[in-house]
Amino acid sequence: MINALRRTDQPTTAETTPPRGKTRPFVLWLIPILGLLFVFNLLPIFGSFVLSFFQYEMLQPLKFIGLDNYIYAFTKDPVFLRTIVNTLYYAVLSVIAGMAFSLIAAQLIFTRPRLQGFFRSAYFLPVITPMVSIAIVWRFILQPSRFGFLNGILGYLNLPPQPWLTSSHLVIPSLVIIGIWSGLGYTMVLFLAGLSGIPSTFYEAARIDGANSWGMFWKITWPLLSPTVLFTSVTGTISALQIFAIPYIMTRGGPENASRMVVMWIQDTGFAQFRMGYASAIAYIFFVFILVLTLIELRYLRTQWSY
Amino acid sequence: MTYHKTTDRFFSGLTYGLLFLGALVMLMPFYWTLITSVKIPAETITYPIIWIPSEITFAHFAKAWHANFPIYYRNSILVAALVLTSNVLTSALAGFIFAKYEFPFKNALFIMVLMTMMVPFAVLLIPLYFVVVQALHLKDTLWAMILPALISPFGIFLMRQFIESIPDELIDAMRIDGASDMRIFSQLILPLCKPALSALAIFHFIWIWNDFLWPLIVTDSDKSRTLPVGVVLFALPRWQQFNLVVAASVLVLLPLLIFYLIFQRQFVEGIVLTGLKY
Repeated sequence: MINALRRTDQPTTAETTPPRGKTRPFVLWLIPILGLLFVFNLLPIFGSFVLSFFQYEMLQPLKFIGLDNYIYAFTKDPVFLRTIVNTLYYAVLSVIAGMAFSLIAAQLIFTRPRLQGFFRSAYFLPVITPMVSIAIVWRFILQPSRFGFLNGILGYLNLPPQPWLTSSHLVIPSLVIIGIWSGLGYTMVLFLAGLSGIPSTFYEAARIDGANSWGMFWKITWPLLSPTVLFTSVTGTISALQIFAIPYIMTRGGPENASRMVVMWIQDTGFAQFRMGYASAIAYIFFVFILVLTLIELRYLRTQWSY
Repeated sequence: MTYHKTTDRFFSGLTYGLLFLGALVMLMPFYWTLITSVKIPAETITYPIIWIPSEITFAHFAKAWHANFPIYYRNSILVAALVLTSNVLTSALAGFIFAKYEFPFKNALFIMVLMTMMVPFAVLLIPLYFVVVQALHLKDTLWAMILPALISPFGIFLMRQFIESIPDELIDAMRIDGASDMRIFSQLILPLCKPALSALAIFHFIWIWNDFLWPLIVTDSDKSRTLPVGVVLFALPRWQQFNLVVAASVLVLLPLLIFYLIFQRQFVEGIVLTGLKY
């Protein structure tokens, strides 16, 4: 009855689109799809939360211990706190420096159309290179002695060899260099798309008014790129915080935890020490940490441009 | 006017100088990788650097290849093929249903999809291990890597956004002609989604080819190891053999490189379309 009324109300759409309130059997295809998603994604999300309140070490039975895992993480596990600091340090440095270099590269390529294809391909090549290959190759490039490739190049400039991966001060900056090198092309392509979306009439008008390139960049380009900057910094931070393969292969967290990252510690406590309950608690702290950082970033960047 | 011309030329030269310097920095590790993988050991660890090897050998590739690389390749290709096929089809299908159908709990179910999309993988790690290893007994099988990746929440989200922009009239027209829902999906929606689906496929390919953490945890032997885990375990006891390990890492890179050279345009367009970071 209600359907019939609707039909007369909206003759243009109701004739052909399935009437509201009546589900077509085709929708049942969602059951296997969302079923798999439930078992392999949603269930583990809740499972991890529940497990974080238990002591569970594989061979012993589950034991409910309330918030003890969380308290332990913040008060008795210096390695965990160290991994949080390391990861944050890496993410902040690599995101900010990476964005700056990508934006410069994009701006330079954009203003000079000749050879654009070559530069774009060259800068993009590391993006498609597998993480494990990057880690293996850079481990050799950053060898500490004069025989390391980068130190060999420094030799041409009469600079002393640096202990890239073996010094606790240099190891994270070294990882940042790799992060910038491998991610620059990706962010650059997004900036190039953003730049080509800015109408050239804006620049022409500014030029007539006597603006120089520097002024045009800050008054036109930068504000109009804000959606791209927002997107790349937020997604860039989220993925930088989850760094695992590169330090795992290159340094194993060393020297003395100086390059140990949060995900490495989750993997270590869970699958090497078999403290599954504790690893789940760390994972949840990490999740909240990412969430809070993302919200701060969104809020901060939005206020930057709200005029 | 002449003033303009000279400054213009100066800036143009400066720009190209910087761009070439940048390209040199970006490509240098690739050049080093290439020469190291074909150098003889005596010319490898030297100071100053030997830029052009006097002798070229492919022995390192042959040696690395024979250390179980054919199995790693087979495993990686099988996992990627199954996961990609499933991702593309299920993302389009679920995206279509979410975009164009009405059913109970639609919003709640879509929020569930969004939720799973936003949680970092490290959070799932331990319970997923229980599901896959303890409950399903899939440890050290390819299924352990395939099953959890069959459905892509991001893919569903992306395809829903994309399919929402397809006009209802097109769907209605086919329906009037008596087409079934499945026919509308396979003959109208799938072809229209080609650009979005190829972008999705490219990125899931890179992602699954790269995936390291999960395969590291669920594999125990070479029969199920994929390339990334295989090459790292190959490298660990052999760090002293520079050439061999670098040649092995080239074997992991090679398929992606070929893939990139063929689909270069789609890669770049795909990034802009999805804005996806893997």
